Amino acid sequence: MEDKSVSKEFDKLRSKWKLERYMRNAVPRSIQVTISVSFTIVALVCMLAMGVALYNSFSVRSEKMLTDSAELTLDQTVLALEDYLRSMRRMSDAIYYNVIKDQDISRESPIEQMNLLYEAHKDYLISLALYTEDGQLVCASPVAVEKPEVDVTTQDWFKTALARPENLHFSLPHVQNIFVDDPTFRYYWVTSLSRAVELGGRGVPEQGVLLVDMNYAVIKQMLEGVNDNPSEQYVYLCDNSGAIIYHPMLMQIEAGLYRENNSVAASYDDGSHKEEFMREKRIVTVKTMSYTGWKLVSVIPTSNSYLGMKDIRYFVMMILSITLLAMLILNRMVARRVTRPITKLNDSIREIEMGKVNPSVYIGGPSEIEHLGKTLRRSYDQIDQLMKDMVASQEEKRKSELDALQSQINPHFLYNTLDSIVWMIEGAKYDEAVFMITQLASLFRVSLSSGKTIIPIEDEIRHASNYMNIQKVRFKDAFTIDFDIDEEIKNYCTVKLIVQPILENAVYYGVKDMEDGEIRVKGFKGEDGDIYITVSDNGFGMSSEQLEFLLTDDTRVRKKGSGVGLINVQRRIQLRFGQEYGLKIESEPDEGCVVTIHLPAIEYTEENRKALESGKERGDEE
Amino acid sequence: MKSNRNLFILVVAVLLSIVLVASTSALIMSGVREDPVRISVVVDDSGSTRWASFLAGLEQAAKDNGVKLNVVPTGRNFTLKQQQMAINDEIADGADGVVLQIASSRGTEEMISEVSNKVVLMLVDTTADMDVDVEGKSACIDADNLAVGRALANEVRIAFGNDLSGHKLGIVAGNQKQNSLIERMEGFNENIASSGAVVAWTDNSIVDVSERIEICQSQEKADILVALDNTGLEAVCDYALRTGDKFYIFGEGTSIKNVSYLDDGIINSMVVPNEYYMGYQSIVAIMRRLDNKLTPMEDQKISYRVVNRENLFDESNQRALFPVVE
Repeated sequence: MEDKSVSKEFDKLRSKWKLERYMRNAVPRSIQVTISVSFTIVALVCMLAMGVALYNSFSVRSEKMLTDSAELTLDQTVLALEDYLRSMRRMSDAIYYNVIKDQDISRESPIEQMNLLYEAHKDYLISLALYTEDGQLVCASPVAVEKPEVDVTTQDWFKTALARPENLHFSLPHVQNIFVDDPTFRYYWVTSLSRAVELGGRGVPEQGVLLVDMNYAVIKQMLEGVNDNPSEQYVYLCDNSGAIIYHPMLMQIEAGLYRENNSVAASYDDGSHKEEFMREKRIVTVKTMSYTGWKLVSVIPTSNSYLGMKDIRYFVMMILSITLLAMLILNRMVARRVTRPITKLNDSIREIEMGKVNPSVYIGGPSEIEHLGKTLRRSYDQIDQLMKDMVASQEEKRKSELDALQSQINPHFLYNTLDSIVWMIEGAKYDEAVFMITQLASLFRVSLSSGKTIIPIEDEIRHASNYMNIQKVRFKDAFTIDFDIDEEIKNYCTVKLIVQPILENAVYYGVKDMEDGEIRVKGFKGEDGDIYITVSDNGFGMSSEQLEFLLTDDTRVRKKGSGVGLINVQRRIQLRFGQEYGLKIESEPDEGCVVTIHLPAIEYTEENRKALESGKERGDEE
Repeated sequence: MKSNRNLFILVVAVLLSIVLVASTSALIMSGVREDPVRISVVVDDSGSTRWASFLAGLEQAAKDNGVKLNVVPTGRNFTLKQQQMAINDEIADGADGVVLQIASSRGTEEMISEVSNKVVLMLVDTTADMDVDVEGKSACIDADNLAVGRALANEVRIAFGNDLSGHKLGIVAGNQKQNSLIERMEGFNENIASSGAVVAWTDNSIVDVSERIEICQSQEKADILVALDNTGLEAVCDYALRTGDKFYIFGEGTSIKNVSYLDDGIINSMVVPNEYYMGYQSIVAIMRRLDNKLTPMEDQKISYRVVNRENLFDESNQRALFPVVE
């Protein structure tokens, strides 16, 4: 259970690391990109904020403009409609007060006056008719035949007029169902203006109904003119209960192809209202007409927004793409200009990293970058100087170490040899003393070699031979020495004084105390082309533990010999020729010891010598 | 890394340029008015007032959808061949869609296939024989004619208290090559059969119908006259007015003349299909097809109403029966 949770935690951490690594790779971290991206984000945010503010302002202004325009249209239309309806009312008044009321209709029909009024207003009228209270037609204009089975008392306009005799009543549009127009099969849409009238002249005042059938086409044409525009805005007319009088899509509404929110609109107060109907946001402006209470309603759908929304969308896209394009180019230019000195400085650093000799460090641009460049130049110069100093001191150190190693031989050996010579002279062994001194002189000549560190193998062997000759005298020929050096290797380079310390060891640790000690020095070129010089003795040999320390531990105190350990020889060879060269020691107790010197086959020439001495040996190259 | 960055910026710049070019050209193109869609209407006797409601629907839909409408002037009883010639002329004139009241429902496969391969075809008033049309390149909008026939029979039965024994029926069946009239006939017969009425005669003529009725009446006089289409109903009324005899007249009709006969009490009862809806929807369907060629067209049925003298001026019937404001 615990394992699982640990594994889950581990998985989480791993995925977090992965994400962080991915983000590090994905998000470019150069200053130029950072500046570009920052500028772009800031500009975009500003643009968006400005866009939203502008859009809001535009939308509010457009809305206001539209509502203002709608209200203006409604005002004008209401004025025209009211004017029309007022003129109809006045005509009704004229017929009633000037004709019917003063006339005894039982004796004199008002048809002539009605005909005159009809003729004056026939563009707006379908008919004028006067009925008695029980629905009898008194007179009508124009002269028409009443439908035989029509009972006007059942019609709405008649009933309303009598129900409220104090008012004039405008009906909803309907097809006139009173008169026959047979030959042409024509039916008229009318709006009936009816009122109760007092029919005089029969002694007892009697009630009647005056009907002015207004041509509905007039209202329709008036409102069609208002709706005749390409926008989706439209105006419709309804009564105070919401019943539609005119609607541009009335037929569609009747056929169930369209729906209108008229019943709700009728309850609105005058002014503009926002509503949502059939998932469409709309601005509805209402204006109530005087006397009739009819409401003229303007509807502006706002869902697909204002005029030419498509065009606005394209325009916004165009502006947006131009701005983004300009921003992209401008930001890139600005970022490049700002970061150019930094980039140049970075290039200089890269040159330094690549190890270019004497790189040119950029110094320029703004003061900060200039300061950085100068500091870098100074730092680089200092580092360069330090490096040079370090290399020089290292070389010096190495040289001095070599010198020290070489100088270690001299005092000890000299002391012993001189001691032997003194002893010889004291013993009057002058020939031997002379021999010793001659050998010593030869030894020192080779040892000095005019200050050279690299000498031919021939000289080195001579030096070894001189040394052994001295030692043989010192140890009274207690051992034999045999040199077997191939002629072909004699002219190859070697570090001087490397055979002598080995021989010294062979003498002191191998054969010194033996009666028939033998030391063999053999030099040859190996199959691999390298030079091998072996020093073998038949002495006491040594254990593997001793062998192990021989080339690794230089801290041991030497009890015998010149004090120059094999480790010194090893180090000198490797310092000059490289780690793959040096000494190899093979020995077992009572089996003697074989020390092999492994050297590269470098022909001894002045050029090679100088090259090796100046430190360009293989070890350094590596 | 640097080249990747440059490539990214280049790609963004190219994309923005494409958007810029596209939006600019769209803005310019939106200012250029496209040619309006042209729809031709081929119906029998296009000048007849029986199409008033249908034409009002067509015109309103054309106005709402920005369509240029052309009602081909036709006489009475155009043959299929004449209709095809008229349609070909319209297609040659650049019509994108055709509204067709086909003259005959038989042997029309080739014609319908040919026309619907060229333009969007909407059959109205009656269905017709056609090949399998999986793509829905054409469709039909008409009334449920079986139901219309049944409704007519119902009206007859109601008028006589379901007992028609002793009465004789004269049926003006109209163009029985049209599926609509065949179905009406079928619906009527189906519903009248059990009423006890005797069918004195059935007339299928499409010319001089009034005279044909007179001939039929002279052979065996019927007291109940039923017309299955508007022309037949007008002819029946004309015959009744001419003779001055009292008949019980029922029928399907839409013309103001028939409405007037109904108002005058000559017609007892009339079935009126909602042809305004038929006209409006036929244009809408064609436009929908033109806007999206992958959407197959579908057949539609229109409603009908039964009108008599009592409900003729009802508010709910006025707009359907008197579509033209005069």
